Amino acid sequence: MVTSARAVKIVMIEDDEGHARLIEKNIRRAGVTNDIVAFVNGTEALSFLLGSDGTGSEHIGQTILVLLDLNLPDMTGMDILARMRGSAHLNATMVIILTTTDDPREVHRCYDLGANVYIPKPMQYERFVNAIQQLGLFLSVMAVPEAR
Amino acid sequence: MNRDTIISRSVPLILLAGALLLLVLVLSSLHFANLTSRNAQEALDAARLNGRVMRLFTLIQDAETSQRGYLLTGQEEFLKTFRRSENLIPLHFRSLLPDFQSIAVSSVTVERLDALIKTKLDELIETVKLKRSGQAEAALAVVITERGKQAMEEIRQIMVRIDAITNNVGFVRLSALTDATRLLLISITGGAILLVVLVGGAVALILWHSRQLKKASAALELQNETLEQKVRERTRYLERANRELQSYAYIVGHDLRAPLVNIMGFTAELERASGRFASYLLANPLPDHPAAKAAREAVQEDVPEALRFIRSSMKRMDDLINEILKLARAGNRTLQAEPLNLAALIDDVVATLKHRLDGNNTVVTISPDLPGVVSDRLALQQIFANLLDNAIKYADPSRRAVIEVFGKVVGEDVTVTVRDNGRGIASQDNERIFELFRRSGRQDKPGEGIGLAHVRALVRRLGGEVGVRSTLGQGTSFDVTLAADLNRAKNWGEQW
Repeated sequence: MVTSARAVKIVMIEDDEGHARLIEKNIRRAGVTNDIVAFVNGTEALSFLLGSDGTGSEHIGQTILVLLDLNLPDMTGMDILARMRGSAHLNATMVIILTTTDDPREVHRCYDLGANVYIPKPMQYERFVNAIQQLGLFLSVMAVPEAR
Repeated sequence: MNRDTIISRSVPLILLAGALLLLVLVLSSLHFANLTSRNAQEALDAARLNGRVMRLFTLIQDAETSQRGYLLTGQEEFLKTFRRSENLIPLHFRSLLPDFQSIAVSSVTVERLDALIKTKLDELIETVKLKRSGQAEAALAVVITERGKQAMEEIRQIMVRIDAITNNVGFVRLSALTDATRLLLISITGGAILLVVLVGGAVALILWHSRQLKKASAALELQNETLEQKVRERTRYLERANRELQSYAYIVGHDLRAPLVNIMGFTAELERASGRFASYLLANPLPDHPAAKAAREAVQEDVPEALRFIRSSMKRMDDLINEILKLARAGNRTLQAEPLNLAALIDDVVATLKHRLDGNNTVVTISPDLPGVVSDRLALQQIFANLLDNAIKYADPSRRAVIEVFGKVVGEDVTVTVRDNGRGIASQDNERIFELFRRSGRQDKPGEGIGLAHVRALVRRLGGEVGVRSTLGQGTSFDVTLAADLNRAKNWGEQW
C-alpha cells in the first residue's frame, strides 16, 4: 500500500547536530511539514528502527523515510542500511543517503546494498542549502511505501 | 695504534733500510772485485817481471859464456850467441825500466845496474876485439883484471835483490788478493742472504697488503649495501610520510568544511532572524527612549556589521581550505609523462593570460629554442601559469613589463627561466615565498600565498627544483629545473 507523502515520518540519522538542524530548516522551507525524528548516532537509530524485537515489526503499517549519513561515530551508515535491508519489515523502506563522501566506490556500494537515493552533501554552504532545498521539493512530491 | 698500523708503517721502513744495505753490499762487492782484479794483475806483473829480470841475467851470462868460448877456441862459431845477446841486452834492459819503477826498485840501483851492464858489455866487447885482432894475450890480460868478473858479481847481487823485491811484491799482492777475495765472498754471501730476506719480506708484505685490501673492500661493500638499504628505507619512509601528509591535508580540509557549513548556515539563520526583527522595528517604531534607541542601533548596525565580518572571515577560511584541498589533490594526481614542446606549452599558458597582459601592456617573449621534455602536461601548465601570473601581478607600474622565458639542457635536466623586470623580492624572503600561506613585499595584490608553494610541490614531483634570483626594484628570475625525462627520473627513484 502506498501512502501520500504527508503521513511519512522522516528519520534523520546525522551525527552533526548543526547539519541536522540546517537540513531540517531547509527541508521545511521547501514546504515539507512531515514529522522529523533525528538521531546523532547509529546505535540509537538502529534501536528505534528495528524496535525492541530487532525485526522492525513495530513499524508495520507506518511509512518511514530514512535520511542517512554514512560517517557516524559508532558505525557506518552502510551497517544501518544492511541491517534494514536484512529485516523483513524494513527491506523496502525508502533510504536516502546524504553524506559528504563522493567516492564513486562508496556510491556504488550503497546502491548495491539497496539505497534508493544517494546525495553527496556539498561542502560549500550555498550548494549545501540548494541541495537540501531540492531534496525537500523532491520529498514533497514522491510516494513512499509502508513497512510491511 | 693497533697491530695492523704498526705493520703497515714499520715494514716498508725495514724494507727500505734493507734495500739501502743491499746497495751498500753491492757497491762494496764491486769495490772488492775491483781490488781483487788489481791485486791479481799486480801479482802477475811482479811474477812476470821476475822472469824477465832472470832472462836479462841469462842473456848477460850467455854473452859471457859465448865470449869465453871464443877466447879459448878462436872460432867465430862461438860468437853467434854473443852477437845476439850484445844487441838484445840494452833493449831488454830498457824495456824493464818502467816495471822497475812500478815495483819500487830504487833509481840508484837501476842506474847502478845500467852502469854495471855497460861495464860488463864493454869488457866483453873489448876482449873479443883484442882476440880478433890477434892480441890474445892482451884479451886475457883484460879478463885477468877481473873487472868483468866483479861487474858480473855485482850484477848477480842486484839480480838477487830484485828477485827478492819482486817475490816480496808478489807475495804481498797475493795475500791482498786473498783478503779481497775473502771480503768479496763475504759481501756477496751477505748480499745474497739479504736479497733472500728482502724478497721474502716484500712477498710477505704484498700478501699482507692484498689481504688487508680484500678485507677493506669487503667492509666497504658491506657498508655500501647497508647504505643503499638505509637510503631505500629512508626514501620509502619519506614517501609514506609525504602520502600521509597529503591525505592528512585532504582530511583536515574536508573535515574543516563540516563545521564551516554550520557556521555559515547559522550565520545565514542569524541574518534572517535579525532581518525579521529589523523590518518589524521599521514597521513598528519604538518610543523615543534610550534603551529603544540602543536596540534599534544593535539591530540595524551592530548585528549586520558583526555578520559582515563573520562572513568575510568565513569566505577567507573557505578559500584557504579550498587551496589546501587543491594542493592535496595535485599531490595525489597520477603524473602522465608525454613528449612535450615546452615553447608551445608555455605559449598556450600565455594565451590564457592574454586579457591580463593586454590590460598591463606587458610583453612576453618565449625563446623558440626551449628544449623538449617528456613530462606531465597539466603540472607544467600549472607551474608556468603560476610563475607568469606572478610576473604579471607584481610588475613595476613605473615601467613597461617585460617577461622573458628561456631555457637550456643541463645533463639529464632541463632548466627553464622565467625572468621579469618587476618589483623584485627582498633577499631575506627568497625562501619564504615558497612556503604555504607566506607572501612577500607590499600586500597590495590579492592572493593567498599558495601559488609558489604549489609550484614548488609540482616541480619536485616532476623530479626537479625551483629557485629564485631577485634584486629588489629590478626584477626576478625563477629557475625551474626538471627531469628532461620524467619516466627515467621515476625509474631512478624506484631503484632506490
